[in-house]
Amino acid sequence: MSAKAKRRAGQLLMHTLLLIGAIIVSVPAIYMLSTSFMSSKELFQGGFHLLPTTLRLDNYIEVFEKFNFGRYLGNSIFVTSCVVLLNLLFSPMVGYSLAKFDYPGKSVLLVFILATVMVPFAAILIPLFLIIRALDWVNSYQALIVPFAMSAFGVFLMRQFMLAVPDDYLDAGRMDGAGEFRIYFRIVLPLIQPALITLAIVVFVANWDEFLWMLVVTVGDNLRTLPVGLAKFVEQYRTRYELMMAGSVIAAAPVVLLFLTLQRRFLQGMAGLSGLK
Amino acid sequence: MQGQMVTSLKTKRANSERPKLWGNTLAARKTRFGLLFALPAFLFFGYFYVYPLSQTFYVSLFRWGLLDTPSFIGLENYTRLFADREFLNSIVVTFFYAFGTVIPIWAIALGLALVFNQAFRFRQGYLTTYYVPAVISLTVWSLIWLFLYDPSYGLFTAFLRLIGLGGLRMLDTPGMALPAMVILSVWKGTPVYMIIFLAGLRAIPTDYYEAAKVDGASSWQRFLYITLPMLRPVMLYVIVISVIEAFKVFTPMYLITRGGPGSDTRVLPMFIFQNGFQFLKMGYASAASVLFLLILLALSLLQFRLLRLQQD
Amino acid sequence: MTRRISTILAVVLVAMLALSACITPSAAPAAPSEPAAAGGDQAAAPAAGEPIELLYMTHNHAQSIPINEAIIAEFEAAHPNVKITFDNAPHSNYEQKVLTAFAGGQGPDVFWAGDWMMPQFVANGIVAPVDPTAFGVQSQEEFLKLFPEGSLDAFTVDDKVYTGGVSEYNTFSLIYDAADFEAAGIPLPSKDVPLTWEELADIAAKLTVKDGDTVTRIGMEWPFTTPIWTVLIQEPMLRQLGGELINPETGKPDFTQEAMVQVMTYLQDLRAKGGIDPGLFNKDFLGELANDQVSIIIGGPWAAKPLNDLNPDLKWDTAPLPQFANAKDRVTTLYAWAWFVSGKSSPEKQKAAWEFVNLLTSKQQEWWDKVGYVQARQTDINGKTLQEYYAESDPRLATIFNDYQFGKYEFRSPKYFELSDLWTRAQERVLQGEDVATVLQETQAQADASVTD
Repeated sequence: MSAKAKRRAGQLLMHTLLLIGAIIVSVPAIYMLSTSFMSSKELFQGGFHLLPTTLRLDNYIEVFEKFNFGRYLGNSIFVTSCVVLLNLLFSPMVGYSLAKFDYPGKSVLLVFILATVMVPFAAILIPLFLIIRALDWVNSYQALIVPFAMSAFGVFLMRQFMLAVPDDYLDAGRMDGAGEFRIYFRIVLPLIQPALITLAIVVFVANWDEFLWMLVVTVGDNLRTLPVGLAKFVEQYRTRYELMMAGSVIAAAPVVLLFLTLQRRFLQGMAGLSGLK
Repeated sequence: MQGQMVTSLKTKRANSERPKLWGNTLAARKTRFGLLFALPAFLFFGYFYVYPLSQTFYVSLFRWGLLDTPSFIGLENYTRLFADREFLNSIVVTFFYAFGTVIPIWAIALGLALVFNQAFRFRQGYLTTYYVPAVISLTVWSLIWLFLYDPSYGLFTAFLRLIGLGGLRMLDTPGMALPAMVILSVWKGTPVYMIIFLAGLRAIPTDYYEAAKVDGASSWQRFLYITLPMLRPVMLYVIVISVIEAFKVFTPMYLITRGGPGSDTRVLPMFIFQNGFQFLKMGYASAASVLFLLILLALSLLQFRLLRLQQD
Repeated sequence: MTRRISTILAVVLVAMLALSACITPSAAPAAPSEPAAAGGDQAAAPAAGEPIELLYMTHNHAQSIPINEAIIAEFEAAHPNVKITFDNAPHSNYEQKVLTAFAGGQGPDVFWAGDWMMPQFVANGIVAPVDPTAFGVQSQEEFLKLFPEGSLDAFTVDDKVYTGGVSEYNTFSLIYDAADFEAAGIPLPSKDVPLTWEELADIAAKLTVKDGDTVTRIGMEWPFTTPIWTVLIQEPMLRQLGGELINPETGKPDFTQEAMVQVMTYLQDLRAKGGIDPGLFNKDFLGELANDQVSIIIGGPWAAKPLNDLNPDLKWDTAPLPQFANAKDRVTTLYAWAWFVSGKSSPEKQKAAWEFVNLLTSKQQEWWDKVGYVQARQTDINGKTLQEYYAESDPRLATIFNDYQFGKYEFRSPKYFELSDLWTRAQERVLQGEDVATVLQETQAQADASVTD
């Protein structure tokens, strides 16, 4: 009985802390959301205020009508989805190879892969641009997608999760005469499903916010994505914060939706693993 | 136990000194398969990244203003860098920023992941709420904080006043601008690593815990002897990647402080960007990038070592 | 353990160097193989009337985009063989976009750039000298007569003019909220006789409003972090006192000169009195002036249109750029963005590009009415000169137009960006209360290092 009461008290404490934490953590997002309904006059008048006086949708309308956000949104969704799919295809393969097989040059390969993200992007911007130009890909979707088809982050993440897959499972599969492809697709991939979902989320968010490359490698507005659109609110003599915040809500919404959908599978998908073995 | 997986690489190498490539043995088949699966990485990273990286090395030996023809100057860019106070300062600033950011991120992200690894009511709602900072564009995030830090109406300033630090101004008090950048970065960076930790926690088979419970292990013991060792691969990922990401910080400084006041928040990526694209000294910026790469490479290898050593 | 690490480091280094050694100099980054590319275009030279594609790049000043698009449509309709791709990039990344495009061998054919880019552009053949025939005249002298005297000086190097006209021709004056002055009982500044900087400091301090410890309105907003703006405002101050950042005799930057000390001391004083405050507001100075967070800003003629849009009830007015009490000369600012044609483009493209620029520069009325850009090319609008037309549109602007005649362009140096950055950092440190002499000496040391490079 007292143990039960103690547990309940503990639960209550946790919920209280989580709630306070959630409110604090949300402040910048609430600020963004409420500013997206304000006029610039409201934003700059009367000191600080967290909530808008009216639910004014003008900023959203202006962002879509005058600033081409429909196009940016479409491009962002297409480009990022392609990047995520390619990463889901390649990163687990390479990660599996790095985690579970032995061949000459393996650790050098890992170091090289990681080294590719160890310089500021500005340092390789021009050589990478020259490659894209040699491929005649400037201002094409390929240029926005292919250079991100694999990422050091993704490969390394997959390697780390693959390390935790017990060798016994693989060997058992080999004993049963399963080929390596079969083992990979039938045993390994289902086992690390939660990690794949994590990979999808992480890669999606990282590429969703890619700015510099998207700007440099496109010409005109047709292929540009949301981050470029957002940067356009910083003008020569003005910054259109209220429009930027509306644009930013539009940019964040699909990712939150994606997370909501995936997290259910992410949290449930695990139950399966304990059932194994 | 599974913790051994981390060292599986090592033990295997001990068993079969050199992996065989040819023949129809299982070992040879496995080696070939491993190489086949690594092939996309060789091609992709080789073509799109190793070549640009080698270009960075190459350019670092030149004086190059982006628009002109490069002229070879050997290692002069490097000797110059070591005498450049701005550069040395930016290394110090970057280290302070990076470790000031990642250490709180590790602690908070792991703590939250442990909380969310339990089942409780409204878990999904809370998880999404805590995750939201990660999905806001970093540009917008930085500008939101520009408002929050405003000494007149900023909400963060109001909070400081509430805790009795009324006169403190984050962005233009000497020594406070860098902590201001750290706060907004921890806030934004934590959720991603929380998710990764959570994925790692969820991948630990529950029967290990049940077995330990049967053996009468306390929850602290279970954390120490099951969770931590089993989480080691994911921890290594988080530690290595978060440090790399923190070293590459650019946007908040560029938008909020422009590296100031003075050079208090002039991190290395900003130094590199400014020299390359504003001062048109691409060779010099490339040399700084090479040193940047070497620093990160050394740090990462050290982290790999440390996490492996701990285990042996 | 450390041996392992150093071994791997060494392997990686050697591999990198080996790789770079394999790359022949001809594939070097700058290699955009420009001449070859241009030659290639020439070989396939289209005869008159054959298709020509032009790339036109500008930054994203929102009002300018529809005008640019309309002029492109008009030009394409008159020249069916020319196809123009229009690319506007976010303002704060615009220079990087243009530089990367040129470094990558895909520079624009026609583009906007600020006057401070001239030394780099001319030295590297990025910009082409003007083709007067596209403007309906025969020689450069006649071309220059299309513009007020001196307005293209910033774009003239060794007697060659490198632009087809300025898109935006600016000076700075004071713009203030008259209601704030009246409420504080401060007489409105004269429109003819400039205030002294010293008077301005007192006025700005009086206009600052506090609620307890919290500043709710600042007397004056100062550009604290943007290097170009530092120069645009401090250089006229320096010149009023007879100084020049680049010493005309030695050709070297001089941060420790007496005039610079006086300017920096003044700034420190302005801050100490409470007239300006780094870190406060400073997020959108036009929005802040329009909404009573700021009482005085320094701005150009472009401010008129957005201020009227932001707050139609705002009683804004203008005053000349202040001068020091002991000024030797009355000096103000000049800066301009202009239309350039790439020197890297083929002759056919350049010819079409100059004709396009001719059309762009002959729309002065639209550029003012719809964008708020002051331009320079002479014209006749309903019997009025361009300057008369501007002045008529809003009498308050007459003060600003009067400041142009005292304007001087920024210093010219291939090290412009480094020096302006150093200058800004010196300003930041001085405003934080550091000792002026020490800051300037350290800045001088860094400036010396950067120019010996």
